Amino acid sequence: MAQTDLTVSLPEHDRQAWQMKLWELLRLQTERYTSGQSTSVRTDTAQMLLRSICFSLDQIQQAQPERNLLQESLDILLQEGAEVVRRQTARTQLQYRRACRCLYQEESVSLRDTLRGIGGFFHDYDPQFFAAEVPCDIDYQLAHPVPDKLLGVAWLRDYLDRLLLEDTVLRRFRPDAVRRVLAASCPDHQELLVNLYEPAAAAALGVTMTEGDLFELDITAAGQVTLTAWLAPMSVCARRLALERAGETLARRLELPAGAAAYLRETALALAPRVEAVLASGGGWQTIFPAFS
Amino acid sequence: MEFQIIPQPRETVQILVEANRRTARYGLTLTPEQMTALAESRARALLDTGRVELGAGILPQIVEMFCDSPNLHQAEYAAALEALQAIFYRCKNEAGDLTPDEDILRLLRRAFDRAGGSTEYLAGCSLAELVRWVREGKHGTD
Repeated sequence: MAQTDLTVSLPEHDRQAWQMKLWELLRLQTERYTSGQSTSVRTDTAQMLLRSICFSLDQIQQAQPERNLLQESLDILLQEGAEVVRRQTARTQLQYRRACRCLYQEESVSLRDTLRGIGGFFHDYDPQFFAAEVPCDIDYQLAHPVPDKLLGVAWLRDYLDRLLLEDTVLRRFRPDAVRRVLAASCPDHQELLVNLYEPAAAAALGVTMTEGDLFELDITAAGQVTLTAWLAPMSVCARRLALERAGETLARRLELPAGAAAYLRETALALAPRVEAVLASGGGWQTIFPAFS
Repeated sequence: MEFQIIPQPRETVQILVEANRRTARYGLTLTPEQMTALAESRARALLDTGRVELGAGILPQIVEMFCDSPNLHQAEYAAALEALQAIFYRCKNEAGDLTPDEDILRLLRRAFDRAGGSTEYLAGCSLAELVRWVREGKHGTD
């Protein structure tokens, strides 16, 4: 028998019951989406409707883990799902307003375009039928991307949260120091899809490891030599630990809130492969921890 | 995991049995074997056109729309339904999901009658060509 496969994550328990429930939910949503005037939809539309249903159910379940959604009526599930997603969208809109005040927008075309594009999300997003989609172009690259498992407005919320964490860290440094690091790390950063936070955070981590002047973000040439002398004799694990410690120390010095501190620690750990590459090749630190004096 | 959308032939056959009662007065009936074959061709047509259908399908509506056509005869009834079903899903893809089925069925019925019952002709035309062709006929330009 010919069949169409749609991919979806189902709970481990009660799989068969969930399959039947989703079948009925999809049938009802398809009917509503087409206003009862179409017996069929394209496979990709059905896939998006099904993803939306699963996303909405997941949001209800996260808000009320004790509820047994299998016992609920189809109508209640669809109504509540859309309502939960609408509330999330309203909260995300507040995050967006904060994100629009991020610093250094003049340093990145992609950041400006992305923020403008997200404004369109709140116009085009459909919590009722296509809640798992993100109907806008997001070009600006974060230092640590949003996990793939997040969808729809949950994905956008996480993206904005991360963007605001990066902004929180950047706000701790002198603007002229940040701009100098950006120009050194990528002279074309204004036009390219590059992250603004990562070069400044990396420079600050380098300064932290050599106890230099944090607010100038200048490790200095002497500091680079010191860094090599300090890191080279260590094992790979010890260097990784040193980076992690530097992340924690820097977060304390900058008096970062917990979320931003964790993000900075992640940034520090992500530098490990680049640090190893520099030490292995005997190259310079300039692309990671730039010196200006 | 894969969530499988498998058209249910039993549901389609059941509705075709009911349709048989209504179409008998036009001299059109389907045998049980033809009904089963049509239900299976529905699944193939959906797969070929990349569409998903969760109910009994479009066949009952095709039967309803075409049963009083003077160009539909018992000898080719089942074959015509199978062809019209495939043409319908293709046209639906071209029209978009939110175009009502009934609008497409009305168009196909007019084109079918104008083509003297030739489903081959309809199968060779795009939706836009069919619309243009039917519109020209309506204004008596051919």
